[in-house]
Amino acid sequence: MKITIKSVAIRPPEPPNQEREIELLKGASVADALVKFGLANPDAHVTLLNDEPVPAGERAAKAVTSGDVLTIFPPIHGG
Amino acid sequence: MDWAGQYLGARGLASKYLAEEMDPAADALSTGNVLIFATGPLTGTPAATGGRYVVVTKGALTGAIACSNSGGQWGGELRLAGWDMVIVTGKSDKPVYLHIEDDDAELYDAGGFIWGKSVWDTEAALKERHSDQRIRIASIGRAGETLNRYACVVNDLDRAAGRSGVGAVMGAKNLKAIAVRGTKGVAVKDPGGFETAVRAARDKLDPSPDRAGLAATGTISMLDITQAFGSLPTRNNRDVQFESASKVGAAAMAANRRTDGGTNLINGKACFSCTIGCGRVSKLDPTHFSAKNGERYKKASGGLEYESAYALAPMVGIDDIEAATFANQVCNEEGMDPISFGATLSAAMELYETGAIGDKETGGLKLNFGSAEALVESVKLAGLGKGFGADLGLGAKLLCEKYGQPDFAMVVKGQEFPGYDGRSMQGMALAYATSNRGACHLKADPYGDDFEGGPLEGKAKIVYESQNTVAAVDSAGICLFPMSVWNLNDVAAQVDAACGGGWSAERMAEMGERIWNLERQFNLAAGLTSKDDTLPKRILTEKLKSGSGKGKVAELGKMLPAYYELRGWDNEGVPTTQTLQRLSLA
Repeated sequence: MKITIKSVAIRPPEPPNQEREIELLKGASVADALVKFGLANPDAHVTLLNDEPVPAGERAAKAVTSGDVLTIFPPIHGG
Repeated sequence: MDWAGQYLGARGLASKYLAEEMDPAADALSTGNVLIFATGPLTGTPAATGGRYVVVTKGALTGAIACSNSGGQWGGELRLAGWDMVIVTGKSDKPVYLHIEDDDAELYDAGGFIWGKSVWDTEAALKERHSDQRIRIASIGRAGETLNRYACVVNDLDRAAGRSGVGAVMGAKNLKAIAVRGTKGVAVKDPGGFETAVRAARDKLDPSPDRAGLAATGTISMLDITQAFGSLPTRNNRDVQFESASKVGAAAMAANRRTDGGTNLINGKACFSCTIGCGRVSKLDPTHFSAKNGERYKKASGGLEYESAYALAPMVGIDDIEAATFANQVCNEEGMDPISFGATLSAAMELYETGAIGDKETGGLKLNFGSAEALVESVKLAGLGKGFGADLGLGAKLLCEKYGQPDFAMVVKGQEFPGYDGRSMQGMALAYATSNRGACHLKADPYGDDFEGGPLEGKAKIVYESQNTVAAVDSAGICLFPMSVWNLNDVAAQVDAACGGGWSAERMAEMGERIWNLERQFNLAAGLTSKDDTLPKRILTEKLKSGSGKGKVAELGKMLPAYYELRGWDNEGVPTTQTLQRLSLA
């Protein structure tokens, strides 16, 4: 199955903003998707699955389905 | 009484002096108000980001205690001159400026010289008169002179003690500027220990991804995040995602323009002793229509950061980054808070589009959301207090009350919202509602938990604890940004080596709580009540249409009682005697 990953404002040396489809096996979790995406230190990032926050501790148990959109960004403090 | 031992410096110590020196019930623009410029023990030292100073007063925008914090070079220079604090009382019978050179301080006549000039012209004129390009200047522009309610104090051309109308208080005192030159240096209590503590803290901060990110893109990268999350206030908080966000964010700043091939972003820059460098330097597109306002706007100057970008683009529905850049320049030039200006213009646009005001009131300005022309003309008028600019200078609360639509004002305690909507960020909603200076994104740190979708039940504790931490950090003379990497142990080690006194993380946190309660007592004495710990009707009742908070409103009523309880306040938000005694406030 395919899902879309949008990474936003990611810290260097990664590119700040990306959007790409990744292929996952059926039954894959948010954590699996993050591994496949290849982001360094994914636990230090916020994830939204179809706009719903998924805390780091729940990512391994949270299944993704075909067509999902997973958004990733660092939890910047203030601006 | 050992005030420094209880309040340290900067925000804490200045708030104590303010509470002792004035009647909190005095009108903010009257001679009874007191205006304090204060540094902390780390200001002017090599501690990373140790260049901060605060302006503490009763805010002209809010009628509440104001603590407005700025970076740049001015604060460090004041300490290099040997000064910790400047307290301004009463009112000069004529416009003046204060010149400080080490131990010498003298008031000079500003009338016929710099009174009536912009911040930028004031800086140039003072450097020329005193034949010293290295003097540092904090001044008001014409917005402060005309008592624009959100006038700020600008130092080093584009850094500002921006919020709550501290510049209007300065204008009401006929004080145009404080020019400083310091050559004495800053002594610390334990030089060896200080070097060790500063080096350890820098070693922690310097390699962090957060530091690298802020250096690379500045704070404006937050715009991509709030857009993705659905907390980016858009068109006066009627929406929380802006369809043209990509045109006004970090990537747009760095992109080559089709018109001249140049980029809006020229470079980053750092404040005194800062190892982060989140500041932006921009150059306006010389072919943009706003550039016709003068050559001065075509030069490199302070660029958009997250808060100014949010307020001057999505909040007013504008997708023109050059127009937003121009408006930001005028805010710097005339000394206006771009957050409050943008949010006030946004309220005016809603008044205009709903027919509450028309061309007669605006003097012909077509105040439609999305109009870059309206933004450019409005900012010029507001900066000078002319035409409809005088109405815009009232701030959103008074403007909307004047035209019979108070619910259009996105404010808390009279202060306009920063760039976060509390319906998708519930901790921020509580932080706004309880902030002693009115809606503020810098007096608490609920960001991480809000973005993780943390439960409502935990918000009160996060806001309470982070408000105390922030108050302590604000009193040390450093920026909040290292706190994404540091904790209070890192700050306390540097503070203790700098000034002695046995500072620990626990004592810093207790001091932060003391400061918060002192500020609260000031506000209560000024006439504010628990009824002011609230949010606009829109945020409390209108459900979000999109983003992570879709279908939600701010659940303030579910968070506020727990917050009061944690604070040791009664149901009316008044600190109990027990709380005051515990904090040595009674």
